[in-house]
Amino acid sequence: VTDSEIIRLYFERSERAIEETDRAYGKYCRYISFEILRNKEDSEEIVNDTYLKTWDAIPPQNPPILKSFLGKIVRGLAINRLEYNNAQKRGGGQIDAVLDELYDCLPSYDENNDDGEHIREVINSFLRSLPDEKRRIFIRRYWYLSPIAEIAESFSISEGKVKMILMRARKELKKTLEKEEVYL
Amino acid sequence: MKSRDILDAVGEIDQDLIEDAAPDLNRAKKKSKRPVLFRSIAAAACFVLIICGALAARPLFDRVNEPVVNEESEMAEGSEVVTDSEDAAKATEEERNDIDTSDRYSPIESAGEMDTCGEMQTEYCEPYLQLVDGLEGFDGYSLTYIPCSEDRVGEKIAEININYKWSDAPDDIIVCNADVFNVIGRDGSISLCYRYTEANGLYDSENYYYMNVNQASFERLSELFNVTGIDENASFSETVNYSKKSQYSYCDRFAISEELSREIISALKSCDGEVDNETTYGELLTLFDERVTFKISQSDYSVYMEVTNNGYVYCTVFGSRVFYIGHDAAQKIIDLVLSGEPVGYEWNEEYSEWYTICEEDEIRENPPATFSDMMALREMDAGFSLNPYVTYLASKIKLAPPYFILADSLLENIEDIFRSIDGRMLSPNEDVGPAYECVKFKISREGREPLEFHVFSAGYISFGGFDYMVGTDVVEKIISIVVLEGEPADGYVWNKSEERWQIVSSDESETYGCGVGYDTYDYEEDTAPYETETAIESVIETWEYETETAIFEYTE
Repeated sequence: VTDSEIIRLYFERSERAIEETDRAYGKYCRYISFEILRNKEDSEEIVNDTYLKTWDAIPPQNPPILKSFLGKIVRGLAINRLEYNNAQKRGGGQIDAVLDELYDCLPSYDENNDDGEHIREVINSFLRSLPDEKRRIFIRRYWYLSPIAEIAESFSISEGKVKMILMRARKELKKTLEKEEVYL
Repeated sequence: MKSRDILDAVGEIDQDLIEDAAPDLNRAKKKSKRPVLFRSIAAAACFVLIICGALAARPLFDRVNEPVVNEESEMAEGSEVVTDSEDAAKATEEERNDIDTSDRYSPIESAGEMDTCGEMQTEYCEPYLQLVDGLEGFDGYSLTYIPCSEDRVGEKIAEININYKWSDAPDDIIVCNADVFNVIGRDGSISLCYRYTEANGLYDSENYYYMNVNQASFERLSELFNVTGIDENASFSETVNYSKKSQYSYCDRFAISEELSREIISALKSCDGEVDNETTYGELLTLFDERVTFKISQSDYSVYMEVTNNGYVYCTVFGSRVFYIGHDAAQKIIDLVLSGEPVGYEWNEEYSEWYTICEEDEIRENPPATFSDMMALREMDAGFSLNPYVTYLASKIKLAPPYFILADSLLENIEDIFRSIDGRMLSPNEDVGPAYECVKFKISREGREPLEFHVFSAGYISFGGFDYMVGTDVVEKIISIVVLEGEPADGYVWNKSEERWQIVSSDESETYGCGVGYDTYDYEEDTAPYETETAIESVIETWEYETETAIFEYTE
């Protein structure tokens, strides 16, 4: 079943849409969820919430890439769930490590928060300027929150190199954010 | 503000980017077997890879020096040999296909191609190529390379074309053919005796160069190359005297694991590089913004390499030459090296540099007493800049560099360094970046005027009215010899609190010290350039460069 057919099912309000979504992208959603939460039950719950949110969102939305659309939802829900969990007890998953790493990228603090659209454009532009491998590694780490070891294995490079690439990318991102006067 | 905001901002990136970087979940499970398989083939591939390491430079090399044998016959020989090494390479290839690294270079793309001789002949190739690579270590010569093949055993090792420029010669370039004989010492040293006659018939001479190979290579070479005689007297110490180039001691930079070194060698192998005869080492140093230096060690040879992200490789195994391999390939190698662990260094996040674990303060408290100690300290050096200790030494004297009086033995040391450098004259007004004068000294020969040398941190030396780019490593070495073992000229005392040499009399504070029988001179006035021709003659006479060791290419 193609993406457009699944989306058509959503538009027709057919419950088969959820089944087909799960068949096509369930594994993908569970991967993202689990990388963040490191808890099978929570991950499963988040995936179900994702389908519910998707059901509510389509229509009116008509995502061009269903996979990424689902990924964004599951990622956001999982991070929120993690924050909730962490409020009870710290630890677990990649989120703490990732947040620590991203601290490097923070430009000087400014009271004037920038608008989200501009930030998104700057980051998109930054990512598109990166070489393919570097960009994929960056996104794997900071979008998918994949562990370093797993990224290294996926790209057949050492963990040291992954860390090096990420470190350089973060520095470049910081420069870009400062240059574009993006203050978070 | 919070990292979480960045995380959220990254979360909003375009969907196509997310899709592009999505993990391949179906393949993730399969990959867990990869290390095991790698280990299983590692032993089988190891032997071939060591050989391949020695062969790594050959494609680059071959483009410059056309093989004597035709390629067809060479390929035919290679294709006949089906070996375990090929099986191993095939297994590696299959494994690589399995993990799909199509957008990366292939680490060991074609082991068969690298090992043109096949397993049957690798035992011949290894020492042979060491020999050939060693021959490349002499500046000013290009070697006509003869690929290894079984039916060539017993032939002459190589033919050498001697290319050099000599200002007095009627033609700038004189190309001579020379026969090569080989004499192998019992300790494994090989002397290459070649006899050459200049094209104009003016000069006929024999010259000897030595290099060292290990005992195993020595024995095999004895069988392979129709040894014409045993040089009973050729000892390792003699070879050092004769061939400073091959003994040139570079510091260990990164300790590269065997696996990593294989990757780097393979990365080099996969580069479509060529010798860049235009770019000198000095220029190389001014053109990059990222550089790694490292040494790859295999069982019986090691290669010093310096890779800059502007696409150049400076490499000793190819004869201290500069290769251009392109930006991408250079960056790959840099990334590979940086993924390794340096010895004695730690990564400084703030400055994105490796810093020595041995702090300068420690060095100040326990300074190396001798040059050997100094070099031992340098063994730890993984630096991307001047050796910290030399920088420290230089800082002691940079305000008023005194002249140093050098013992004869030191003069020889420095002369040997000068002879082995692959330098070039700087063109007038050439910008070499910021530099300060680290040290100055005079070298005098009996009955001749002393020649002054001014050494600058940017890697060049000024003497006789010329600026000569030699590279920071050579400068470091000269500084360390002069400062550590030389005595400053009369009139200087060591200022302990300021840690620098200081002129005794405050009345002389406006002038720099003098030594070796020179009167005090005004530094400002002395900056006027010398008459060019006079200076050239002076340099030639003073250094007594022989034609075969001349490294300067003078241009009008």
